[in-house]
Amino acid sequence: MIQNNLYILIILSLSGSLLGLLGSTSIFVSLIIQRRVERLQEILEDLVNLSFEEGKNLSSEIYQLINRYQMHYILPHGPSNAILWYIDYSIAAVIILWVTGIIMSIRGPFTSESIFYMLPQAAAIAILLVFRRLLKNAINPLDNPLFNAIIPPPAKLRSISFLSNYVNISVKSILKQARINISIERKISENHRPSIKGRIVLKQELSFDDFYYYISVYDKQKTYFLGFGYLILDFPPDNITAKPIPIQRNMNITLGHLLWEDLPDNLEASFLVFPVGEKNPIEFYFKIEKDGNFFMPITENKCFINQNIVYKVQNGQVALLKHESTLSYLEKALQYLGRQKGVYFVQEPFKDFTQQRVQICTESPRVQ
Amino acid sequence: MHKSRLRAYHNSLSYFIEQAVIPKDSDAILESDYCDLSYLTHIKSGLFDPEKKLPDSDYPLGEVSLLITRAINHNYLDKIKIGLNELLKGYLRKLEKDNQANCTHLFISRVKETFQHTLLPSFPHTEEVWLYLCKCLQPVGYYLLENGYIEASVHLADYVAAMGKTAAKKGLHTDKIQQFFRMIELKAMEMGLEHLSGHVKNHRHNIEL
Repeated sequence: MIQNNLYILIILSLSGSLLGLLGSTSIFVSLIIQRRVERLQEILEDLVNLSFEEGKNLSSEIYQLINRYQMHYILPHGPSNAILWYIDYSIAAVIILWVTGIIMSIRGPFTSESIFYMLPQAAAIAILLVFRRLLKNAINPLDNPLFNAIIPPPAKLRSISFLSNYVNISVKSILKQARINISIERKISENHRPSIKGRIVLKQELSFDDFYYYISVYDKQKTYFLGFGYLILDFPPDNITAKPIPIQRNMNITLGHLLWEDLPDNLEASFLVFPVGEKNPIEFYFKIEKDGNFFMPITENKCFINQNIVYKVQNGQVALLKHESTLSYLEKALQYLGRQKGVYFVQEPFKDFTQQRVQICTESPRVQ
Repeated sequence: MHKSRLRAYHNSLSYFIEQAVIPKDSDAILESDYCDLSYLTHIKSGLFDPEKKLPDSDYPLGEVSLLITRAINHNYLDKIKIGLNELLKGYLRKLEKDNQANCTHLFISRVKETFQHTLLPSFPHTEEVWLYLCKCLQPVGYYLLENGYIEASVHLADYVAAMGKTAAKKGLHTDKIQQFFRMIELKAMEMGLEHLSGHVKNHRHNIEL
């Protein structure tokens, strides 16, 4: 026969050794994570460094970097499942051993006092479960808030607001690589309405998102179109190959509709980007000319940091601190701007610009 | 002095371009007595007779290309621009309905050759030449479409895509080229040329891959 007292000691040493093994597993996991974090940080750093070579065409390099980041970000499922399996079973075994130990050491009737003696057990089990969650998240850092601060998901790399939080990055040159362009196309309106509408499209060679924007299309006399919103894109994994898509090429985002018939032949357009981490917006200035069914740029686009406007993002609202530009509707438009994703526009704001006239554009972005 | 030098250069360019004889598409491009192995699959005996010399008319535009290359070697930006411009204008002048493919190959391959030459690391004006070339190509593409040279447009798009790929690899900006493709695509769509617009769209999407 085995002595009960001695057997409890055996159980304790068994659970102790299992916990020791679990500890070494976590060292193994942390080694993997450290290596991965290093890799990812390296790529992130490369991306940040790229932003200083403004004159060069780097869009394909940025595209490749983000895709490489995506590749290192996902650990193959085989090993991570095996590690998780091991952790789960050892934790289960430890808990069973503890409970057996407790049951064997209970003598006499079960009183309220004995519950008190079980509290350390319960706490230890809770801590073990938290430990399991921690390891699980560390092995698979996909979409969990715990590790996003250290390892941002790949989609964050296309987020202008995220990038602008870094001290040493030039958001302007990153945006320049996105080759932002504005095109206005003629479009026969739906429902056979008599008015022929034009569509205003923001073109991006690389799909950067997560910023507030403001756009106005105007000529010397008046403003024909006003658009503002918070641009955020969402790419589900490819529906055929199931590969994740961190960034897209040739993005077309419809910013709104305007009345084509009233447009003059020559127009100017200003597109302002307000990244969360900056204080001066980045302005893109276009001069466009009507050519058949679309407007095309006639001069080089200008891209500069507009020092005449100073803003601050507070609670998802863009607050203007200084405004000395010629964009007359900017201040008013920003009042309607919230942090929820949305593409808003106003046609011919010179007639009237009230809350009622603000329309929402629901056309989804597409690759074209 | 500068002006007269440019004028002389311009004159000789125009002279050589006018001299060029563009064979019709129905003729094979270099059909002559000269034995060019790259055009043959089977060699018939006697073809590589040393007696059969290189005929003059076989390589039109060789002189033009040589003149521009010399300008590149001297980093003479004005001459390079004039050269490219004349080459493209000569192309449009020589282009006819029945020599679209040959004419495009002969002229635009020279343009491509020039562009590749400007990529030499010792050449300081690579970016300027590339930008200039992009600007020149836009109206050329429009002209071809508007005048119904569809086959020539397809070949031109192929050459432009090849140049754009090289440029992207060298870190030159390709937004002008993409815009060129986009405009051609839209124009072709409007004219009902779905084949051409699809072809051009494909080029536009693949230029930086």
